[in-house]
Amino acid sequence: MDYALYILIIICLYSIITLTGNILLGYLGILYLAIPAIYGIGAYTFAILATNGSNTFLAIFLGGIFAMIGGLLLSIPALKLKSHYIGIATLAFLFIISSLTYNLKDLTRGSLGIPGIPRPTIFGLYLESNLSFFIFTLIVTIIICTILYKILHSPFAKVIEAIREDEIAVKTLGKNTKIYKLQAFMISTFFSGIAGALFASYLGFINPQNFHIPQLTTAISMIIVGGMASFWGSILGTVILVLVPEILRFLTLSPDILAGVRLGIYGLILILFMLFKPNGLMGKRTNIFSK
Amino acid sequence: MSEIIPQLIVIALIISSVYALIAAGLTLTFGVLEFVHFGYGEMAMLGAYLFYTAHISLGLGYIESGLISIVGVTILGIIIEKFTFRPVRDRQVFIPLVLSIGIAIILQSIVLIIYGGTTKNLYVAGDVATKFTFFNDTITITSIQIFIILTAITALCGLCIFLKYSKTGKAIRAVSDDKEVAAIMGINVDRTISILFAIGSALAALAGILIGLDRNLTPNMGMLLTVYAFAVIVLGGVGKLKGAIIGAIIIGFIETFSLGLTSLKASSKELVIFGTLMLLLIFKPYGIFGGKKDEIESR
Repeated sequence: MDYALYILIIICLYSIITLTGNILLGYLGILYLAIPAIYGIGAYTFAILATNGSNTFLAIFLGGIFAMIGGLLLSIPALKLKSHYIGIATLAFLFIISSLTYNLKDLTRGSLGIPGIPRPTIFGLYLESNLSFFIFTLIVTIIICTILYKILHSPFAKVIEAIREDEIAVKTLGKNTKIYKLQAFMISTFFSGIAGALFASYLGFINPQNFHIPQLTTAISMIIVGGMASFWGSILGTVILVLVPEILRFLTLSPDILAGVRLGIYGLILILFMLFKPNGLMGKRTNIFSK
Repeated sequence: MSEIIPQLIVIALIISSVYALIAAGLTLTFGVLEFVHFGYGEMAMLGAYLFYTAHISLGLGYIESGLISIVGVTILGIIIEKFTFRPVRDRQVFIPLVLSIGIAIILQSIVLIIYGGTTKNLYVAGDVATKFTFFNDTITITSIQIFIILTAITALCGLCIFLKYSKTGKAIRAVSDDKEVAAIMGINVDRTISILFAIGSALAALAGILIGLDRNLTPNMGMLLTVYAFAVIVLGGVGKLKGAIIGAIIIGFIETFSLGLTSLKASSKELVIFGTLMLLLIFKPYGIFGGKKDEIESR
């Protein structure tokens, strides 16, 4: 039972992360590789506030806000650069955040991590059981996904996608493309931060290793498999890539080998999809990362 | 404080020479393929681990182990190019890019499965390097460090001469300028890119071994090396060997002096390098020497 709930909660949270990642990778079409750094900021904000006795709802919200501030900082180089340069800038951002979580020991306890992160309390009810936490996560996920669905099927998303295909053409129509890109960054990073905060709350313990390259490859693989710029694709990709590596759990492998095999599966999926189905299962043909 | 400066300069030069080596290979592949090969640092990691297997596990000498590692990685590089990058070379830019991320992940996972996640180092027990001191003990340098710097400089000079004077080197430069025109002129583009990958992989393996001799080996060192190398390339200006060398010297000195002269801990090294890279990308994205804007934007 707990195992099934674990899978469901992970699917919920990763759906948000994949969707918000897809806004920047797929819809806006930039090589955004800082995904774990952004939700890591949300997770650390929540962990630090909640372990110091702050209201958990406020902490979740602030997790989103701080992730958004991180996203705005990241947007300074990201909006200025092109193509692979954005990839390198966002990857550098990931390493900087990771290095900060290791080195700001007074705040983050460095590699020791933060233990004892509480779960949220609703109207005096502490969500201690996994079932109640799952119901709470599901509700939050549905709310966020509905908001994102509305946003991604609004004229706003059409402009964002138009910027991806041809920014100069959009500019000639009198749109301030910079503002649109900035809004895409804010929306994506805010919700990503909230997912991160819930992650920290669910796991109860976080350390810098929870927000590094392996998590990035997981998120990127989910987006690629589902398809670029596809709402339902992101969710489908998440479900598939959460379930497939779970099969490995029934083999008795040592932790290092398990981590290696898991990583290898994601790598293989990326290569095979790029060679044979580069637009993913539900994605459309897009002009991404080219500018 | 001032008495450690000569020593810091020596350390900075050693680090710079290794960075220059790895950045040289990346800048060559970047110049021709027009995308960042994210698996490049992983090739260096693989080189270091192959050297580890040959030298520590099998007990072979330095030269045999080095040859095994370089030849192994070179063959792998050619195979990777032939079966993954070649089919997608003329497709949309994101395809080879994501493909290279996939390759990086697979190489990392292979190393993780075979060697585990723990840190390894290349010294056999009791294998103590000879130390040399100069100028009234202000500078200490080990024989391994001398070996590192000499190997790196030799390899770089060899590469420069090869690119400048040999027929294949000229073909590589021609393909890097314009693939179509090069093909019209009768250059075999497929073959040239294969050779380029072989050279790039060999350089990566060599750089990996040298880094392994200086520091420890971990499975995730590759991704870091890719981004380090890219920092070096951006600093010096993309696509030119000279830029890679100058960039490497600057990054090497920034890294060594920021950690040596201030109270920053060694674990903040990444912070210093990537912070510098970030500022560069914001204020001087086309390298500190300016560089032509169109040149980069057309990539």
